Amino acid sequence: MTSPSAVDRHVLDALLESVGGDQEFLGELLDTYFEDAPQLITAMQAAVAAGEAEELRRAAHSLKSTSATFGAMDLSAKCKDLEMMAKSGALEGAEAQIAVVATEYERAKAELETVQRGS
Amino acid sequence: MAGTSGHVLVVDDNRVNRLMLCHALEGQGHQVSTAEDGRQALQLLRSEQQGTFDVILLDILMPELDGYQVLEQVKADDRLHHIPVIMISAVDEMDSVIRCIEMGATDYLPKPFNPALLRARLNASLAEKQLRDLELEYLEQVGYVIDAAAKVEAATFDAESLDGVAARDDALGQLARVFQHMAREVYAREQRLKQQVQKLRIELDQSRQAQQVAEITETDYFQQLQSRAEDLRRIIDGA
Repeated sequence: MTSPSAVDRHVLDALLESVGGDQEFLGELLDTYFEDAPQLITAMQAAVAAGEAEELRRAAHSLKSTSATFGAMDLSAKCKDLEMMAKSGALEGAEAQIAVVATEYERAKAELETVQRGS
Repeated sequence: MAGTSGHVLVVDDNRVNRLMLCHALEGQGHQVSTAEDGRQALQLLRSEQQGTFDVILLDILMPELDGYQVLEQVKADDRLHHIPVIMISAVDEMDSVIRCIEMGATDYLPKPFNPALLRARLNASLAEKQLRDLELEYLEQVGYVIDAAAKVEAATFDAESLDGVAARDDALGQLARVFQHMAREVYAREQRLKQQVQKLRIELDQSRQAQQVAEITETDYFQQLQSRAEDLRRIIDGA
């Protein structure tokens, strides 16, 4: 049984259409995402370690936004949960949620890289 | 609505968002500058580029200064408050968007953004700014005509100072041209009047001098002196 897709292809297709079908530019966007996402996850971990709810909120919000842009909807949803947690100021459980986000990111990245190689 | 181009400032801490917006905006013919956070945005707005920005696309959640703080400072700054601000927001941030609009933001653009919606909202904001710029320019030129009126009263008016306003092809331009013409006419009449007064003065002086001469030469004593001078001349000539 195949696991559910980490990336909504319709969203990705709509993104490609919105950039005028420019595959090269889409590739540039994906490369940027692959560089920035791990930094955001690291920033989340540092924020939780320092007890900085606002920093955690910003990093989660940013990753939520761009993950949704590329169709990584599950990852986006998990980032939103983390964002809401940070917004409420309650950081208990945030560390575990960041681990979930990190795992989901790897899943989304693998699928996006497959799409990128195929284009 | 016909498209217009402008200089757009994109303020977003997310690199992917900045890239996407730049790509779309440049494709639509706009000049784009970017800032990673609110502090950088305000530095750019207040730099030598001040006066060149036509619209600001502003994210809400950012490090350093967030969107609310940037918006507040832009609206409080006389040099910047006329620039339309479009908030970039996620769909679950409607409360934040409403707050920003109450603070003076012109419009909002949901993320992930739709290029057609971006074009429509940007064009609407650009048209609003251009109208405001025209209004400000008009008020400035009305000010020149008002200054000119004060200078006419103080007799320090230079008709050429209204040449810029007089070049307009609207009612204000016509007013300025009439004003210049009337001022030049008044000046010309003053000059003619001065010349006439000068001429009269000369004639008056000459008349006074003639009168003074006559007062001396028409006296009995002067005529006796003249008669004696003639007698002496006859004696000398006869000798």
